[in-house]
Amino acid sequence: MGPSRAAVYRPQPRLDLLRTPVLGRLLKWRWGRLVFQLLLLAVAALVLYDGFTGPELAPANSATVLVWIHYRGLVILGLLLVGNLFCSACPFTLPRTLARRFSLAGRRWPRRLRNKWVSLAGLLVFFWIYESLDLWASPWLTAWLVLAYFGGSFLLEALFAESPFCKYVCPLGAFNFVQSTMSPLQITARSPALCLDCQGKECVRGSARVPGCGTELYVPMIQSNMDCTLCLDCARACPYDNVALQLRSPLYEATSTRWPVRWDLSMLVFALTFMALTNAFGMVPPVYAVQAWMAGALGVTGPALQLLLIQGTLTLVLPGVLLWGAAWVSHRAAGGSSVTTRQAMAARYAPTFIPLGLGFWIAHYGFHLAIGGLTILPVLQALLQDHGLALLGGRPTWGMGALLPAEVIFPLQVMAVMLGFCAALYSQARQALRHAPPRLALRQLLPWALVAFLLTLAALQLFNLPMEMRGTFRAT
Amino acid sequence: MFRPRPQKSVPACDTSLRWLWIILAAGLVLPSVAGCGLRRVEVDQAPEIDVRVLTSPTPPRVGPAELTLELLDPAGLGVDLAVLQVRGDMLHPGMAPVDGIVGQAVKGHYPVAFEWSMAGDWILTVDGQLQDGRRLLRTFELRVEPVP
Repeated sequence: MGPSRAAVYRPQPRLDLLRTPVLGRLLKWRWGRLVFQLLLLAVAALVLYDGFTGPELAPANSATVLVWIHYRGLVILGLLLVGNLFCSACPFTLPRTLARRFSLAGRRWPRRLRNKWVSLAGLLVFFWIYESLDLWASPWLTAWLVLAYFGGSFLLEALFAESPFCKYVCPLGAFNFVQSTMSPLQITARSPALCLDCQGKECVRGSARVPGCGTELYVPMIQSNMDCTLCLDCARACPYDNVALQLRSPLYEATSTRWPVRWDLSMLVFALTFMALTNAFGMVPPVYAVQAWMAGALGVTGPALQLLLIQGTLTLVLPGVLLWGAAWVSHRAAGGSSVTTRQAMAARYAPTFIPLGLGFWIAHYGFHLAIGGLTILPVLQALLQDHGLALLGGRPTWGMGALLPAEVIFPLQVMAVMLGFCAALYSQARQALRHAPPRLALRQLLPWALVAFLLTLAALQLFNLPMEMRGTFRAT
Repeated sequence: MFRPRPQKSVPACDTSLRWLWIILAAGLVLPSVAGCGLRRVEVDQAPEIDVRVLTSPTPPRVGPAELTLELLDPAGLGVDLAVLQVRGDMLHPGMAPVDGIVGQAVKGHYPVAFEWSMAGDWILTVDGQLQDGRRLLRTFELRVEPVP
């Protein structure tokens, strides 16, 4: 059965980026994605080169500055303002076509792993490694991380017929997929009716010249940016030029009724909100008090184990308990209705935490970009100078740092957090009122609003603390 | 419900694709391999000189600070007449470094006016030239506490 015309969401036909005169042609050009990928490949090559051969001091090495300051800050801004720009130009997927030539018997990714639990575990491991190995402080390890991404992507592409790395494994992809559900652009079919009659389904199967969707999304059924890498292969492959990249409300997905009823997906988006706070928590003084308490009260003295316990508790156990608990209370408030389930309640309200989490991520990563965005210039000057090139001026101007005055950064952080909170509350109210009369709706959304409120309080408290650029030494 | 079939390999026979792989391989492998040995390696030429950093206040706190660099030769005598530069970098990337102002030495003690701009981990680099022309290069790790 094909997609029904009534059930499929289509953004209002506002601006279709693929129909704009110059940009549209560039985006749909067969090698359009490759151009952007090669740009990021050049950046990745610089990261590898400087990471392996450059200064060991993280602030003086482009590997650490580019990856931990610019990549993170620009990715989150790109997701907010445009869409999943990093995945669309991801250099790690460049070996994909090559890897497919070695594809062993075209195996499919195991059915048991076709969910977001792997992504969630990947994110947890990623943040744990980041903290316990101090990746941000080591250009060498940062370069190895980039190399591991290339290797991992190539290996999975070679072993399996589809693109499991992007869809099920990549922690960066999981992060981008979740945040891109707040992006103002979405792939959709210009005319779903045309897709019903389409025999080739080139958008997903590919044509002789262009591959189809790597994550196997069928354009007329796309209702979410989740799993969309914005590669635009679907637009290039469609023989009817029936694919649009259209503007939509950034809150569409948080307020829609079409979120899949799946615990793994709900848990992923819910846990990512907590990860935003936990990641920032690693940069403020109370984390040392927690570690000291763990050493004294629990006898856990190893920093790696301490961090694993802190992160496991704050990003897995706590969100898991709160998600299930809020769903249970909400379900009870609905009278334990047989029409809905706790899982459905979680699927209804978990996406409303995405704007909240996005606000936290912007407040954290935006801080680093705002306070250190210009530090890349002297780093590049020094790199060139080491090779006898006096480009970008002569001596490195090490005094360069902030993109914004320090006094405006905290108010901007507060604004990001509060806007996220307001958007979350609005989404929760929309969800509740869609399914129940006002009085009952209020009772249903109360546990979710309470969690959002407590998270916002924690975030404001956290960002108000004196941020430390990491404490790993003890006083000498 | 439409179910996607596994995709077939994309034919990679045209010249453009071949070039893509060459660029990819070159972009990843060559910089790492060729880079070894190209970068300037900075070496301390006076390992026998004992360099210590004394901080005031102790432990270091965010704000203005008085540092004292103590340079002693193997006999325990102060080393004067060195031209020193002091630079503080935060361990985390993304913060502009801070330069200290080094004063005149008395019996191997060099006063340094400094300002810790943020709490956290700092790398203090002492770089300079001794009277005999040899380079002195040392780094120190310090943890700076927030203002109470």
